[in-house]
Amino acid sequence: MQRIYLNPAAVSHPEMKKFVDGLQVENDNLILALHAVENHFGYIPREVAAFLAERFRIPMARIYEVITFYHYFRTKPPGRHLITVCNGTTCWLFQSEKLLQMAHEFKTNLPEEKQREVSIEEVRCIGCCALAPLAYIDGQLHPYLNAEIFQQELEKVISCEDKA
Amino acid sequence: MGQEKYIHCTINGIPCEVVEGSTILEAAQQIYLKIPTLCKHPDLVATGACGICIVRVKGMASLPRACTTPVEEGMEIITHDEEIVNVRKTVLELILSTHPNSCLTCGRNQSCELQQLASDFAIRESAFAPFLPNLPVDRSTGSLIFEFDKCIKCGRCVYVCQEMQGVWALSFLNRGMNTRMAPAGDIELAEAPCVRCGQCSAHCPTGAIIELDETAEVWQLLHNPDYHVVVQIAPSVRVTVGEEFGFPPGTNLTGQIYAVLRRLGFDAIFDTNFAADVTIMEEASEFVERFVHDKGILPLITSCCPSWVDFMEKMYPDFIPHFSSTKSPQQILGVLAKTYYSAKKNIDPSRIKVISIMPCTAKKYELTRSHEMYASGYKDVDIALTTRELARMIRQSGIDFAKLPPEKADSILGEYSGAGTAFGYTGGVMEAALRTAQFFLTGSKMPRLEFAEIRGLKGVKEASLNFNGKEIRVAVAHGLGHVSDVLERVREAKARGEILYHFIEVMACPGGCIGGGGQPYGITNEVRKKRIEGLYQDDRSQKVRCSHENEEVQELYRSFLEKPLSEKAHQLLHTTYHARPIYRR
Repeated sequence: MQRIYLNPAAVSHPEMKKFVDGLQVENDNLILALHAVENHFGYIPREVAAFLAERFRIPMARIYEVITFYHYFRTKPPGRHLITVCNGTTCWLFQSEKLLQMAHEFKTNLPEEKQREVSIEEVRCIGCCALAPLAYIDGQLHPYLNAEIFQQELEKVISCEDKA
Repeated sequence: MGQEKYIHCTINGIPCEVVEGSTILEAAQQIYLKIPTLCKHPDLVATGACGICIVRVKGMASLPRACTTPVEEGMEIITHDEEIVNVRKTVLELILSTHPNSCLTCGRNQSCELQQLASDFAIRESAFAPFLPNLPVDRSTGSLIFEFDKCIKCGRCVYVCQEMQGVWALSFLNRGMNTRMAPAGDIELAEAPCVRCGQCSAHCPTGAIIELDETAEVWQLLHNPDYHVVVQIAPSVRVTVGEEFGFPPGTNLTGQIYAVLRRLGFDAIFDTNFAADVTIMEEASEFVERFVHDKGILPLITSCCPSWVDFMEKMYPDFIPHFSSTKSPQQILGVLAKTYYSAKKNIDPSRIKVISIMPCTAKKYELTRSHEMYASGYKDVDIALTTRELARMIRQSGIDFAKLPPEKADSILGEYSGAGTAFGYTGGVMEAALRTAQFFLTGSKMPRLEFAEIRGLKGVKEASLNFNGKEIRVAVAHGLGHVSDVLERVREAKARGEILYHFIEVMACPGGCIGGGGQPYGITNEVRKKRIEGLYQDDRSQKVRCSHENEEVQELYRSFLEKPLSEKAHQLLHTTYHARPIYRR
């Protein structure tokens, strides 16, 4: 018998186990595995962390150290809409803090059930400083932002769907 | 052995010769200079996290950290001047800006390393705006209280939990300002692999991790005239509690402890060493059953350490059949007090309350580990206090402990052999069991008493013994981090159909119970050695050194239990083990 890192909750998620078993990564490359999980599920479910611990034969605490160290990894599922504001040095010089604040205000002004569908995250430099300040809304890059454009783009994406 | 190379440096102008590879911190200790440290602990690898040990080295632009900087030939080191003192003060002020000002109500008041430094460096005001994370306090384990707001992020507890103990209940979550020590994900400690060994609390420099203090509950029981309150002291406590009152480590105060407990108001003073002798009668018999009569699987593994039991149930459940089913001495004394003693003295067991003084935070958990801990029909042991809590009770009473004349323990659960006292150090349970097993196997009246091969602080110790032509291979591990190595090898041998060892002893804490998580603060290997030496002497000074020769134990079997492993013994003195999930969430 091997060390069992599983919690009882994990056992009832065979699809997650299948995903982890099928991962095509070297056993020592936890980061690549975590990226694959995040891309597939949108976050790192606790059950998947447990399966990864078992497959890589490392303590689950180690996996959480890595997940929580890097801002890219999430431990909770993101909302349907994801607003990502870059807060790297260049964007910060171009007032990205204001954009971040706007995004939060935009969310708070939505009806309550709608709020749950929106996730806001702050990231460090994404490597396009020439386009600063910038943000992603649902994966779409928006460069050279100012308050006016940002507000318009947010409304476009999030209320658009309301009409539909 | 390779020749050690010596190099030279000066510290504050004093010439100094040190072994190559020594750090500046170690070199300074050689000339009786104490450089302040908060993250570095003698048990642990230096991480350079706190920055208080900075020194000046001629030719270096910045101030390097003494704990991580190796001495180089010809180095000129200054350990204190105006700038160094000011930098250290700033480090303290920064730490204090994220630390609550609650010293008076803190469990580490007057034993806190941060408080001591704040006092030494004359910190008189808050230099920086306070920033407290206000995270909730975790009391889930029932043994330890984890108050993150008091954490200074030195990392000792995480290192202890992951590397020294191999438990991995604690980890570093997040980073930078937001770093915190916590179990994996948003769960409580009791839902994580924590085995409550308390080594984190023994190494924490502040009050972020402390034991649950239950002295008030004990005073309440002592105050109630309806209760007959009995107390037992664990083997190791006799050589450690003195440190709280200024005695050097290892000072044996057995008689004074009996005396002070009597003056605190306990109705009968018993000794866990007596129960340890009973444990040996049962465990050595189990060994003979397995070794000679093939009844059960080998190796037999000791089970008197509750952290180790919890660890095995979580991480190595396939070893359950190897575990000795004999309960720990704490539980055996409890159940005997509420059955055997109760009947002999004609005291209703519902009126008897059993308090134990233990070196250990996990002993609090053991009290309710399973339904078998209620074998008397009542909770066998009511409250377990750590050595530190006992010291607090003594101080609360105002009794001048150091000046008390020694007294004796009470019959019929108080007499002990040298084997009983051996339970307090690594290798001791094995030694005690071998003394009696030799007698059971060979009938020898003069068995070999001491086994140097399994003594000392080496992580894993092995011996091959010969009893009347029969080879017995034993292994002793202490510090849970050393266990996996032994068990993996046993597993491999098992797969090949071989028996690697016949008998294995495990204690969760480095050094055994003398290094337990509930012992007086300031643990180092030097302290461990002195405490162990104190127990060796206690063992040697006993007229009776084998459990089976303890007269009160013989009387117990004659008049109550019949013989080891009898039906009654099984009902009262044995337990079972069950696989547990590592994470409950």
